[in-house]
Amino acid sequence: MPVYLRFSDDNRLGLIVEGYLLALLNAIRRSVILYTPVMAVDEVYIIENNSPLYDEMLAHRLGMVPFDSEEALTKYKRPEECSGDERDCTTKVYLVKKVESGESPTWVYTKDLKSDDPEVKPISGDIPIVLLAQGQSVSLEAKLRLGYGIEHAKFIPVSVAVVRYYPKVEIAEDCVKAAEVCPRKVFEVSDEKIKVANEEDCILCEECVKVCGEKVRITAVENKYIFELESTGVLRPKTILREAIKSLRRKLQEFSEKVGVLS
Amino acid sequence: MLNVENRWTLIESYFKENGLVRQHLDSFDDFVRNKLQQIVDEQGEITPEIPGLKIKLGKIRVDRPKVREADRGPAVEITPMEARLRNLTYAGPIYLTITIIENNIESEPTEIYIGDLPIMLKSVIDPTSTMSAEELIKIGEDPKDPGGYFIINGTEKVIVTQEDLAVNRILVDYGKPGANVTHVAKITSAAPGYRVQTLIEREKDGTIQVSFASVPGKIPFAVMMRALGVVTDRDIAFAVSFDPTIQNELYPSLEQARAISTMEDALAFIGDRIAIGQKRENRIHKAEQTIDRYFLPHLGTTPETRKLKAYYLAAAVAKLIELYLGRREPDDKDHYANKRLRLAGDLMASLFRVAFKAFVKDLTYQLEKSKVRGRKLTLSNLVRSDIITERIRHALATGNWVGNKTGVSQLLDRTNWLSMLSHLRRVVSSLARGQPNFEARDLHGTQWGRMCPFETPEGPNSGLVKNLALMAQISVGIDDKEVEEELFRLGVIPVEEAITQVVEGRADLESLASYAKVFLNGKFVGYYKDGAELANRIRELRRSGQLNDEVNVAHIRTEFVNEVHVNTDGGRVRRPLIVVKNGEPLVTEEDIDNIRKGEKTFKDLVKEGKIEFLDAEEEENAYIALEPKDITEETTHLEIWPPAILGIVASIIPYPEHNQSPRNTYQSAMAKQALGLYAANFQLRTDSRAHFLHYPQKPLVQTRIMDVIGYNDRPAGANALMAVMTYTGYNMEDAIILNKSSVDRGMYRSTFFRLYSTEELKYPGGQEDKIGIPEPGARGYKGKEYYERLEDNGIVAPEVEVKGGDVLIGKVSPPRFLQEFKELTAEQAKRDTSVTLRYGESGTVDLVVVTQTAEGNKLVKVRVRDLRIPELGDKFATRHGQKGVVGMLLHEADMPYTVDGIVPDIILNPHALPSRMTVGQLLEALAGKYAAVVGKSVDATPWYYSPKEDEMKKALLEHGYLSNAAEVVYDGRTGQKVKGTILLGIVYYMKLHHMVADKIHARARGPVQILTRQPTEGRAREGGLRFGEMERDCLIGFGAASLLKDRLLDNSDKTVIYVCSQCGYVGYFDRKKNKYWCPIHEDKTVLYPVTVSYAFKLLLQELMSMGISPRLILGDKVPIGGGDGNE
Ligand code: SF4
Repeated sequence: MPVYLRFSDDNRLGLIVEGYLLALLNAIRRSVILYTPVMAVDEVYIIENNSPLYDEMLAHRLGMVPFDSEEALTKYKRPEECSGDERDCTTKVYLVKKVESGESPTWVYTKDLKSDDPEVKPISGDIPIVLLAQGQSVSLEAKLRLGYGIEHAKFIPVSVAVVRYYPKVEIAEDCVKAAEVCPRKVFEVSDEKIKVANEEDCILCEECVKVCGEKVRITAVENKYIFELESTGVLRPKTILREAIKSLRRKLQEFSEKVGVLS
Repeated sequence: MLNVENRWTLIESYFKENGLVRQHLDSFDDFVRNKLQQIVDEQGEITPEIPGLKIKLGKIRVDRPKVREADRGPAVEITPMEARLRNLTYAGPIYLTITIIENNIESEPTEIYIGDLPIMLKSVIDPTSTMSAEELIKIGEDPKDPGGYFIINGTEKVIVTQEDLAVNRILVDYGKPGANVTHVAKITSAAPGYRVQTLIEREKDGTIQVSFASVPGKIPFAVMMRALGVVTDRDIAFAVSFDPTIQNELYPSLEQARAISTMEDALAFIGDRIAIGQKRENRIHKAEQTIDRYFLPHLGTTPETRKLKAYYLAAAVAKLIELYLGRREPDDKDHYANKRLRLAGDLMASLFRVAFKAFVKDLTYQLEKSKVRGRKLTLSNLVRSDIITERIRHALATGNWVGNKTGVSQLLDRTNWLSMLSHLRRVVSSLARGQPNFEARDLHGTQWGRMCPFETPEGPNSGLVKNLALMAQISVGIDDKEVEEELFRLGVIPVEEAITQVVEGRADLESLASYAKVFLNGKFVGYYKDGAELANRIRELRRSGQLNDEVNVAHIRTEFVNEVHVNTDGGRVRRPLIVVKNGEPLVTEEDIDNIRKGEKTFKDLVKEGKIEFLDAEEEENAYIALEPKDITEETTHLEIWPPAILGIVASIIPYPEHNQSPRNTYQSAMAKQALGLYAANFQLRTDSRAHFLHYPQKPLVQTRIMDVIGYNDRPAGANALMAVMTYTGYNMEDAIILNKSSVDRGMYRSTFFRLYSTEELKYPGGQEDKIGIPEPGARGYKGKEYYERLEDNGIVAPEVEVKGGDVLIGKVSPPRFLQEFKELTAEQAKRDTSVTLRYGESGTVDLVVVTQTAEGNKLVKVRVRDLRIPELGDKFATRHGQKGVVGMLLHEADMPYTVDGIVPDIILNPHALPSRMTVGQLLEALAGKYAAVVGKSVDATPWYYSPKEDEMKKALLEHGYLSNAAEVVYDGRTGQKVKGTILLGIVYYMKLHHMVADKIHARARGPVQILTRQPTEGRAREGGLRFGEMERDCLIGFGAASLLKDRLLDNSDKTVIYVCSQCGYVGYFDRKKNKYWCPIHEDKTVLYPVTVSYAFKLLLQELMSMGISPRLILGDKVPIGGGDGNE
């Protein structure tokens, strides 16, 4: 049951997986979105805020800021292990900014957030939070914790999580039109003839079949899938996959334990 | 060539110059500049019944907006925002120059203050009209606010434009079938301050009768003519027409009046009707007076105008006979040439006239009173300024206008930017909405470019409430004296002159009969040989600037009719067109370049005669090309911008020409309910309720007009990725599925504001309200915990969380009746009149304003805000009349995903499309996707949109998408590929203000009404859900008697009454005596408890109050011993 790497970089991971059930792969995909622990602002104590944004809007914007969670995974407890304000569950960031009267309006960026834990910091310092006009100020304390995507979208570590069928493109007879209509440039035309150039790019849209009929055959390879992830930057793609599978395994473990007790 | 871009430049220039509420501003400016003075001049002077005393009224002037504070200091200037916050009226003091003439000695003219005039924002007398954007921001105004409304007692009021039938016109029609009258001509004359109607009827016997207000019965036409000074049969015939066929029709009328052959006789005849049985001289005098004042008063009310009236009447008769002869059609009352719009200035003028008359009357009375007492005249002490102030303010505050019109001024709709603009451009018809009036509701051809064809409400007001099209302008009206003189200079032969010429044989009948009749504002002024030529000459004069550009002329020519109509009056809806001569539009590319360079404006082109405004009447003469390519030799005008036939709201619909037309109408209604940024100064404002969308976006799919009307700066919606598929089925019946993760990320979050306010009132007798925390003894004290959130001053602090029932402002008021006061101690008598948060609502205190009204009372306003995150049941809509509620919130992981990992925000059910035929929405999805892919917004202006469909499709294909905007998607729950492809595109969705949080309601137990003891009704009163008649019928049908009793009695107003077994009256249990008591038999009887509905007990008592004696005959519930229970 081989797994090949299609591509991999800091944020993206593409795999070709053969011989695994779709149900399992989709379970992993869903686990990536729903059950991967990620750090995010969860509670905000507003000390002062006379910015144009209301407290709840400001808090929401802070919640949406992605924080580097790579190290946090080992430092902080998972949500199911935390019930209250226990140790090793949370860390804090602070934001104090004031625009004196006479100064021009100033943007508050994520780089203005001061973290208690230097390893938990926004993945980019250039995310705008609020624009302060003169005389306005913001002073707040925000508590971060690990959470799962199923609770809130701010805990979702990926922007893309896809399992798709592995395509097979066969040319029975020549049909140049197929190259014209194919949105993914699967075919290559040389000497008025088409040949399959990027089979993996085929999305199974069957546009080519619409114009060429029997001349091309588009099928999905059974039990072979393409798995693609794109991280929002909070975790490395491989960490995401590992953590997602860990979560899944823990659930299975828990389930089997419960079944075991049943006798 | 005037291509699309060039003509668009004209439109931009037009709006830059005029703004969007020009019609209101023009009208109000005219009122302040001219009409105000005219009304004073109509009065001229005051002559009280004091010998030798006269008061001359001079110049009237309105000062800058000011307020007189209660401490009687000098009036201080206010800003609109101050007026809104402090519940003030944004009004300027009116000053009138008065000269007292005593025994022919004129005193020094003095300026006195006579009242306050509410000032229309951004009108000439409003200081904010000349402020720069920075200055406006400094005083708390939205720099883009168009003005055109008033601020009365802190609320913004619009005077809604009223549509009326044109006055002073002769309108002919057939008589009612079966009646004695076969044809009828109607004239509504409008004189300053009043309107009267004149009817001219042709009866079955061929006679023509005239009837008008204040003379009972009908007057034969010939008699009327004689009374007006046209005596001989010949003169009457010539006055009517020079055409023998028409003259012939006069025989019955002339015959009928044979006996009355002189002017005196005729006057006496009329006088007979008014002053019955009086002396002949008196009768004649009375008749003269009545004719002068009530017969066609728009032509004048002096004896000199009688001849004029005679010719006007004759013209009306001619028109009537033409209708009878089948030479013309009855007048089309729905033709926009026969409609006039009355705007703020007009309506304010009639209001001010009445107020000013009352003021003068009061002043006269005061003068006489003070003279009787022998005091020295000091005008400033006698003038009561509150008469004018209060009358105007009252009318504006309530909408009840003079002439018994209601709903004239309305609260400005500030739901969003569009709803406000649309409200300012609304036109309401005077026709009753109760009647069918089918024709009046239909779209008329002459509404093209004047009224929006889409924007009208559904239901009873459909077609009666309209909205101005983008380029429609309304004439202010100019004096027709000059134009009349110009007409005569051009060679129009006055009627009288024509008759003399014929009589003296200087002109022959036949040729005069072929002359065109010339009408000026409906008044018959004379004859002209070649009507078409006259019309053209007038047009040339107008284009060259020798005549006012408000003059419009139409030459109406059919086989028999030959008339020239010149109009200069106010209230005509006109629209600009490019003049075309010899197949060439006069506006050149050079002109356009000059406009772009800023060297020329739209107005200059009007001045140069290259663009002119046509009213509906003149448009009948025009041959208008839609596009430059359509121009032929006969073309007279070129449309500037065909999409400008739409109103403001319909203009934001992308691809409207691809939609079924009612969808555009629905959308026009819905756009006004969308949440967005309704005004940039919303954080300062204290609207009674308001919403704002946290992340509004400008639409990816634009129309050109959006920039002009400011929609892109104050948008009301967001671009959402829409997929068209069924998925789970939770989007059936027009529901939509929302991506919960998108909602988590802030999509369509909004804030709801509600204002709570109270005032510390002072009462006669020195008592007053007190804002503070009420003492526990006060009546209606709610309990300590309800006041917990109040500060020491009795007001909640900002940013405090509050829920329904919490007190926001604590207040105690003195007892309502003095009696209570005597019985109780002072503290106990006080009533708790605290302001509490509405039942069922909650939120955070957002803003607290403590200020003072003009009367010096403390005024507290508390604004509470509530965060609204989209939830199940919230209403959303696209810009194509496709509305639906949220049926399900699905997590991103459960949503379908494309091969690129894209997840839609909204899933729309495909069944929403085929029957509605909103192809525009599909095109918008395609265009939205194209815009997202290429990274620039798309122009979807009707007819002129670009890029076209093919181009967008090609671009999509090039970027790796299917050209039809569909995509391959996988089911997020299973990972399986969905069969076929799914349309996935970006569509602008709006969140409408119908939200579940405002409507959700349930009750298990709760308050009952005092009178009936039945549960209260409605959510605001924590009411029950009505178990109505039909529901009752169901239970009866099922035979579920116990359930029925449970619903209608046990859980409603069940009561036990005690009925006397002897008399059958209702008695009671006297707890003091510990006895049952019958009102008749006292305790010498047995009372039995009976369970009835409290409403029934009430019925018995109501019957008693009417003198009916209802008795309840008691029997056993279960009869014992086989009786029927009636013993
Ligand atoms: S199915 Fe679609 S993507 Fe695949 S080869 Fe055919 S056209 Fe190209």
